[in-house]
Amino acid sequence: MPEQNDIDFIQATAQGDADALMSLYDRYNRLAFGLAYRILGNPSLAEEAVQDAYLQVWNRAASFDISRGSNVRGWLMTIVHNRSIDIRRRDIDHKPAHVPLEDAEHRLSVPDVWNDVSANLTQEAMRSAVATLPQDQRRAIELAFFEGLSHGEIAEQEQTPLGTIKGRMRLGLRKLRTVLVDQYVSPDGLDHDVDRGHFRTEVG
Amino acid sequence: MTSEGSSVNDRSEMDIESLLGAAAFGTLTAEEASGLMAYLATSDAARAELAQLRVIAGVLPLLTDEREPSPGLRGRIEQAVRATPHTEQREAGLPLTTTSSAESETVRPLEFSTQLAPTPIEKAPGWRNYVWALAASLLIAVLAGVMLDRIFLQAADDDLEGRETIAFELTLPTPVDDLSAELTYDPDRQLFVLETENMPAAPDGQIYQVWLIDGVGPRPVGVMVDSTFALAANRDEYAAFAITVEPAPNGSPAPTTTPFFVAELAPADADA
Repeated sequence: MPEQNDIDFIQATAQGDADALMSLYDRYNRLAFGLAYRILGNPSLAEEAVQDAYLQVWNRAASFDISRGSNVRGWLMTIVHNRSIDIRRRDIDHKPAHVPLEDAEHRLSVPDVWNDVSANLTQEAMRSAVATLPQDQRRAIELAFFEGLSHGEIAEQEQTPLGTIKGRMRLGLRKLRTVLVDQYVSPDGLDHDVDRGHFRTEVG
Repeated sequence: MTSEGSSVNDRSEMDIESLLGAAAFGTLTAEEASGLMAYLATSDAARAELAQLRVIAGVLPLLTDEREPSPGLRGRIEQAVRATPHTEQREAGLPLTTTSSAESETVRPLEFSTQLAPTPIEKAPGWRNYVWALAASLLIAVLAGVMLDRIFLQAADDDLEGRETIAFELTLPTPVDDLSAELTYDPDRQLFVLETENMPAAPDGQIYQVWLIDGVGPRPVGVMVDSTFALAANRDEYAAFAITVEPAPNGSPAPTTTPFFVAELAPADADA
């Protein structure tokens, strides 16, 4: 019997199969807890974040849009990340929550190839890609992603002009993308537009 | 357009596009998010870049080291999900909705009065103050003549399974026939279960969001997409269980309306 993939599990979860959700838990709980712990630095809060995230998956599995890609892992980790940042800002940093761009979600779409690539990236690949970034760009990205700091908060903490921080965050992500594209998306057989940096978009 | 006007617009576009990195991380302020949303509606290129950056931000979790959570976490999650039934209408790939289309034809969404919630709820320094503020706002709403459907005050009552029934106040702006609800807590499994019957759909574009409130303030714990909502949490750590109406599909990080459902979570022995 072939091994079930993440799409099978998320589809079954959407239909109320608790075993399927727990299969996703068994597959990704270490990564999810590791991410939450990195952000929160507290095992109790990290477990709270992971538990909340999986319950969100249970309640929102039907909203996973397969037509936009197969990266269930990425979707799950985004939920864990968002929940962890919410908890960190509320319970640790005592800062107001960020405002999600929820309404924009449905307007943003990327080629399936990118979701597939991102779904199969390894930890080593990401670390080597990030290692290519200049130190200041890497730090801006880490402060934003793992500490949930806004660009204004990063600018204040780093005593650096706001415009510089905005640039580091944007340029750092763009460079990461370029590195990963060069490494994982070959011109043969995959979307050539991706290599030139032109993602397709769907306007909602 | 004058060259000066073009220059100003170019500078404005550059300013707004400089937010794309933070937008990919979801770390915008409300004002920034509002401005960027408006700009995204007019710029294919900006939408495309944000999509690109989000994909990259989405793989950053791979930079973390995997860690083993406690063995009990799996059980707590499994208990909670098994207590929450799914509707047959859920299918992968479809957008999340609070009710099926069939329900939407027969159930009129509630129209919640904004008189109860003129401003977002801020974090309170102490939870008890928050509870009493809610109670006071509900009382004021009654005295002001806001139409209340019904107020349930259910006495605590242990059932045969050891679950405790928790008293709550439910305040709806319009009458709902045959509406019933029960909030129970299983102390052995540390599991809340809210079961409702004939609960009307949330207003268009909104959803019911559940909160647990402690000394810090309201914690978002999920959105209601079924008649039953289950939540694994230790009752002793919280002062109240509340529900508000928030933007669909994911709710808000903090309440933006006054709760229409409030249950004080006094220790179990205090209910006896």
